[in-house]
Amino acid sequence: MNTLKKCRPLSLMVALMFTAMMLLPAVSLAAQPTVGMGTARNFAILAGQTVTVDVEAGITTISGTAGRDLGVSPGSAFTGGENATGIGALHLADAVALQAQKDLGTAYDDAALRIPFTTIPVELGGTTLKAGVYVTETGALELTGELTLDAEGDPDAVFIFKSASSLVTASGSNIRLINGAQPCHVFWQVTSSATLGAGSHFVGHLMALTSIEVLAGATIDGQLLARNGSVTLINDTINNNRCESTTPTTSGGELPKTATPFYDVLVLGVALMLVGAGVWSIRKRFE
Amino acid sequence: MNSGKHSKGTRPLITLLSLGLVVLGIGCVSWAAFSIWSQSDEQLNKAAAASAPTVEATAAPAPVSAPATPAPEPVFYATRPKSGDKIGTLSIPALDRSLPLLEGTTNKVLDRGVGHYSGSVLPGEVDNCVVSGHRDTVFRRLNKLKIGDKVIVKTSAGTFTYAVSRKRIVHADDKTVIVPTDHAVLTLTTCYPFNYVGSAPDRYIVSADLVTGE
Repeated sequence: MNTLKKCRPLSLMVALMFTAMMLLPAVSLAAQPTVGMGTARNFAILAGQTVTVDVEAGITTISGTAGRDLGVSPGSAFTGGENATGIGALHLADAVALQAQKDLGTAYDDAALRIPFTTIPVELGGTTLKAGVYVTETGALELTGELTLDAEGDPDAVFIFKSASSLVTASGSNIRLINGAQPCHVFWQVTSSATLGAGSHFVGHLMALTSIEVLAGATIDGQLLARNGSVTLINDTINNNRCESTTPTTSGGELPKTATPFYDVLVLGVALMLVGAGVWSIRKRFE
Repeated sequence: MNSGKHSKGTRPLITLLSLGLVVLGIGCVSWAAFSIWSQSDEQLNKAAAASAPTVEATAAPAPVSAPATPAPEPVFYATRPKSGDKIGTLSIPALDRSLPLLEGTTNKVLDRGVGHYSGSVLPGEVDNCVVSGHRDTVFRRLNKLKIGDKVIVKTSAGTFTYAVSRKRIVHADDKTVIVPTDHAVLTLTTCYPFNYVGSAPDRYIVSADLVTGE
């Protein structure tokens, strides 16, 4: 009996391990859903304390179909507005910015908790990655040269990069999207601060717990979202675009039939009544 | 004599037949009248206002001409609607019509309002959004629309205002209407001629370009 009792936990563990082995591949193969940005989606730039736009050989340009708003909350400092063009609505320490920060917090936590993840080297340059969740060996993320994100033909493919410390991209670095990858589905969750190099090209929703510094002449296809600290820009370009529709219209579709039988039946009914009345009128002939 | 006996015997049958035809005729007229009444402006306006859209938007209302306003993620609609789902309402101020907009173009769906062709993008999205309606109910005065008239589509993703840019008549088999476009277009289709009894051979097409979305 004692032996049997000892065996029970063992058999339970074996059963659990077997179940886990069966389930894990399914979990890891499952495609990641996108990270919901909520109202933060409307902001090209969002900071906790300060947004500073410096000028150097040109002004910062903001555009995008998803939103060009600039917000600061709980702080309210925004300097250098004259050095930027294309800014949408300004939300400085107002309810809209507060809500956007709350939604940013939710999105940040969502990204931080995503599993399963793949561990990759700190240096992202020179690599091609497919959809998934990525962390690095030491926690930091660095990019020198080019990083390629391959959606393998799936326009909904989601890429999530989690940094336990910082994100630093070198000057002139580039993120290339291939096979249908879209900037709107790339997410960066940075536990400290991020620095984007001069003249670099960055892609995705950059969510930093502290601050974001963008050096001169960088192009960002996405958003710059700092939860607690500042966002600093110098002569940069930010395009905060919506995802492209994934359900294009069928080419050469057949036109729907839009006829009703109502009037046909109405005419038929009148005809039947007339015939009935006619038959009624001649029934005496059969006497 | 034989003939007279035969006639006497058939008189009740003839009476019954005539009464049957009249009753059947009244039934057909009543059904058609009720169907036409149920598709009247007033009833459809009530239906348009009655229920909320069943299609979920991804987030806040979507911007089109003014990108500073809220936008959804990743596209305007979180899920594609199923056949029969209410997408929103389609209003044509020039015709004083407000119609329920539903997913699909089956007879069942078109009896309830304007149907969205499932093989096209949803309202507000870039590309060609095709909607169809009966020529003798919801779209019976579609030919009265003029270039520039507004068509407003209200969905869970926002309010999208289109302006009529083109009208044309094509054959029912024309394959050049439901085609992709490089900008947001709303295409309204219905059978033509409007007063045709039976299956109409042509289609009346109205194209409208997206002007604003909020």
